[in-house]
Amino acid sequence: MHRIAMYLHSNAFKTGLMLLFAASLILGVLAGELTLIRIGSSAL
Amino acid sequence: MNRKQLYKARALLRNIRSPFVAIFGLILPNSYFSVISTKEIYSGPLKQVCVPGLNCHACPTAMMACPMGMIQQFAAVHKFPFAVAGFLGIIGIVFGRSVCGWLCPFGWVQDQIYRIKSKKFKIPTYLKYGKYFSLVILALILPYFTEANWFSRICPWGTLIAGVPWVIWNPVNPMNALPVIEPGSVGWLYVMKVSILVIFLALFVFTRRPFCRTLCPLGAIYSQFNKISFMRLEVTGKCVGCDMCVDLCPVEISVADDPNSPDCIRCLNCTLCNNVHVRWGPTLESGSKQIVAASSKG
Repeated sequence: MHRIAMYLHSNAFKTGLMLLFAASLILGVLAGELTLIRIGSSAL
Repeated sequence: MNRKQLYKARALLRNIRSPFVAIFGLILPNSYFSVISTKEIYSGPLKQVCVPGLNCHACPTAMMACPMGMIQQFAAVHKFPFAVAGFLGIIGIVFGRSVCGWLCPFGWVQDQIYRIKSKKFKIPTYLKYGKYFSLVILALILPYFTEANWFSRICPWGTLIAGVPWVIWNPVNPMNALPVIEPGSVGWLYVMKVSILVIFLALFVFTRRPFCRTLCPLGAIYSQFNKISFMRLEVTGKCVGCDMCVDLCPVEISVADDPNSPDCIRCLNCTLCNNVHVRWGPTLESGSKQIVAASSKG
């Protein structure tokens, strides 16, 4: 458990997670989601 | 530092935070003042960008989109919101739940109303699970199956900055010469929204940040990052357990026991105590409360 806690607090884990989110953001933008956001916010 | 000095320092921190929230959380995302002449909400390119905190995109002056509105919208059309998830994830992994403490205007409103002198009550701790219910049921499952944005329908912040202003103002649309809110269109849903808003406004007087702690789905998302974010709090080994941090905390967390609790909104009030520090990166001092709390719960 202690090792898992240490790993969750490691720079490698955090950086990996951040890269994953950055990839998700880029993927979303490339897939044209921003247009969907604008249409969605007008429709709401 | 004695209690009186600490309360003075907290007031100073609040005075730093207030203009920050007002400018970046409220004014910048809501600066479409041309609505006075157009009588229509903005739908230009900036509406493609989400703000990090709650911000109703139906507000007359809204320039940007609300992340919770978008998550519901994507659930309703059965798509995964990659861009919004990535955006919120990056903010969460770097700052944890700081958006709740430093950017969200609704949190700021709650803090200000709580300053009204009255008898104060503590919220039962089991109610904190309400925000996860709100996220999973109201913002994901119900929109997915019913194609309606259920959280937005009851969101008290949306009612306060969008629903109520539109109904009170109700301008005549220059395009068709009809009122924007058609006669008879204000029904039971609007009454329910306003009732929820009134209940919460009353609760704000008696309890600290009840909406953030019990209902906010965005807070539920950000709270998952507190334990693993680059920004974190650490309590030094010199802590004597005086519980001053609990007094200073707007969400009544025992910082000494769990400085990176999911409920912490990172307002940094507790850092006024010399034994609580903000730290960045992975460094864990042996014997610090953070590592003790993390390993005992892990």
